[in-house]
Amino acid sequence: MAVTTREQRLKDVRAWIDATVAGPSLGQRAEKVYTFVLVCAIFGSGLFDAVHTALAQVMSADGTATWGTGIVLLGVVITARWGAYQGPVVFAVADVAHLLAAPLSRRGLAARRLAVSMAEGALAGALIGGVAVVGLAGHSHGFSAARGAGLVAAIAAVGVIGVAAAWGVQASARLERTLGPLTWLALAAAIALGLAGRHDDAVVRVARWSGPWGWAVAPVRGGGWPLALGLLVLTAAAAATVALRACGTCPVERHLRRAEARAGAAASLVAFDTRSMRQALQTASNGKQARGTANLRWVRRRSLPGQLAWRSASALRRTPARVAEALVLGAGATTLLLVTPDRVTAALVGGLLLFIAATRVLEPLREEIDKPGRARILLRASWGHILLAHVTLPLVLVVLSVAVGAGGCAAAGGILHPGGALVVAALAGAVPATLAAALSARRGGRLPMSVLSMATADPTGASGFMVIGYLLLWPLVGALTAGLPAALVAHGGVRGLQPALMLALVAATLLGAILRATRDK
Amino acid sequence: MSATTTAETVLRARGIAHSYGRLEALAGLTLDVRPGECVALIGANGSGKSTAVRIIAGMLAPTSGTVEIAGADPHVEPDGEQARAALALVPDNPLLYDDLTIAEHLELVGLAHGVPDDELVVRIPELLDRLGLEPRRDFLPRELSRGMRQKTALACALVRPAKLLVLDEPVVGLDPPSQQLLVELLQEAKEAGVAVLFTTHQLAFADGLADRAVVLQEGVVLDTGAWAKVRQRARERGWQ
Repeated sequence: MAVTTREQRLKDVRAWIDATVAGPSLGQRAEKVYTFVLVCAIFGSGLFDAVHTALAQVMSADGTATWGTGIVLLGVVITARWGAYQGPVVFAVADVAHLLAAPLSRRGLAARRLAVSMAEGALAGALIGGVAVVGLAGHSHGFSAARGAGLVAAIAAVGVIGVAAAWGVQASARLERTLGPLTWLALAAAIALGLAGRHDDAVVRVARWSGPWGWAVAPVRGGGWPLALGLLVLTAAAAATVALRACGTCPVERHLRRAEARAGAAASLVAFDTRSMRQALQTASNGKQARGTANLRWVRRRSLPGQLAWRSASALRRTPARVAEALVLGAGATTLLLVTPDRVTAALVGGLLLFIAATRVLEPLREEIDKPGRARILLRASWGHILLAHVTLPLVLVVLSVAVGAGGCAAAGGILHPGGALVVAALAGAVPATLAAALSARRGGRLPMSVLSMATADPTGASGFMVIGYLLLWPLVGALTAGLPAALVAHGGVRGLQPALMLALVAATLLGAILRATRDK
Repeated sequence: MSATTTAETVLRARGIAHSYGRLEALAGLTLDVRPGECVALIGANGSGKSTAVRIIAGMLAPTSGTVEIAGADPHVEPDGEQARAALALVPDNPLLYDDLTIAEHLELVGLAHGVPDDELVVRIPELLDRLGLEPRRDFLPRELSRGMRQKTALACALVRPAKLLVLDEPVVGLDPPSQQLLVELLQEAKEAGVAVLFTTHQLAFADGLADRAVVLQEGVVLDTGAWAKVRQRARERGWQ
């Protein structure tokens, strides 16, 4: 029997797969390139002008230097977190059974996929950097081409670092566990850096040299950016080298979990079911451990709200990270609402963050919606009342997060005048935001057939907008009803409090009525 | 243990354990399987059989303990390549490519294990014929029944040379004639000097096939020894 080397076997397998499994032909590939070039030629100029004008309104060199470091840091951490669910090297389930189980070099099997992912990371980074350059060039006319090229290269290098970090997380359970809390620390650091940098330029200068996240935004403003760019490129090269050298070390079990999760997520995506897609991807992560039976007998369980509050409390006690996330998001949202409510964009972002905070603690409601049969058998109330009762505990938590954020802002002395009225407006806005989040959760994760059929039957070609409109409806309602009360007070002073409270009250009543009117399908 | 003993023992597991969070799925399994020997891992659902198989096959890292297959640790690279060359695994759920036919699966596995083309040309039709898959050799997995897919996974394990054949719940999805065929194939593998390890919760399947058995309950070894004695003790305890 002729003995083949491992390298030769790997080459043979690759050649066999290329010859057996038909990929797109040269003509098909050329057609895709042609279509891409054609679309760019037709829409490129108009899109460029629109992006150029829009970004020039909101981007400035000072603002980017102040907030950029934190945003890049958060971007790197979020990219690394992608490794906990998928990561840059994901095989098919059958690959795990037949190729990873064969005497082939696992490094050889993974290296090409990792290299392609890093190239994609660099390309995505370059695109983001390019968009930032378009915005900066439109605003400050002095933004030179050299700085622009530097910024594009820097964000491309950050893309490589992010993908390398994601590989580390994908390959190591320990790193994955470490990264969970780090994400929230990064968010807090990003907000703190941005807020501190607004008042003190020294903070921005220190942040610039604090690591790759700071080096990445160095080309935007100030001197020394070629050195920062050089350091960043060296760091990216080192990260890529380390990742490629270690790319055979990921345990097969982790590859298999990701492969199965991807297959499940793909199946859910075909059915337009984003909730089960998310659940499928979560199976790849280390997962949460049950924390025993919740001793929450003190919660009154005779009434429907009491019963469901007990149930929500029991479920949330087992997922404390969700509660912590909601509190951090809610406090961050409140900070935006109290510190910069005079800017409508900031107020709306704050409102959106409150909406997201509420979604984090509405998981028990979603589980109820997943299996309505349980409530049908166990509870005598109407479906709408059950859903409304599920909002009680999340509402308490969101209001608590607003109180925590307000307390923090008051302690730091950062609340805009009139402080008390702004806090009341933020607290009032939390109610419709939570109800909007509940209405969003009520729809389940699947895109309804009615929306799909309307979108596909639409002769105007606006079907994409129809689907996006459907998806963004409740987040927009949440952002508006939670952000506008604070904005009204910021612009009208104490006199603005009355319309702000009226707005929150009317919105909450309407949203609550819609939720209560929900019928069991 | 001396190097000689390790070389004689195809599978050598020492105190392998694994925990899923707080749940200890397997608590210290020690096992040797020699060439031409067939060992059954017996236990109810959740007893730790599949966890043991996944650790032995190098798919799941043990929390503690060591595994050697033909003298190599499947969990350490590049040693793992040597272990993988010696091990053929038939998982409980056949993992097949959606876009490859049965014959193409066998070709790919043979190629990945370095089986020369001239051998594959003879071996593949022989195996397909033996397993009753020849009429469906150009079928895709989605066109096959559960049993046929299970047979395809078995064929993938048998198409290349192996020193240790590990089967996780091999009879699931197989009809009685196919189960009988599986017994015959495993007997032939034993006679050819291949060590066989399989898991099952059906004691009847192990009759006439297993030389030794390890009984697991909630991750702990409850009984071990020659199959006849384990079987007798099982009868005395009222197990089926």
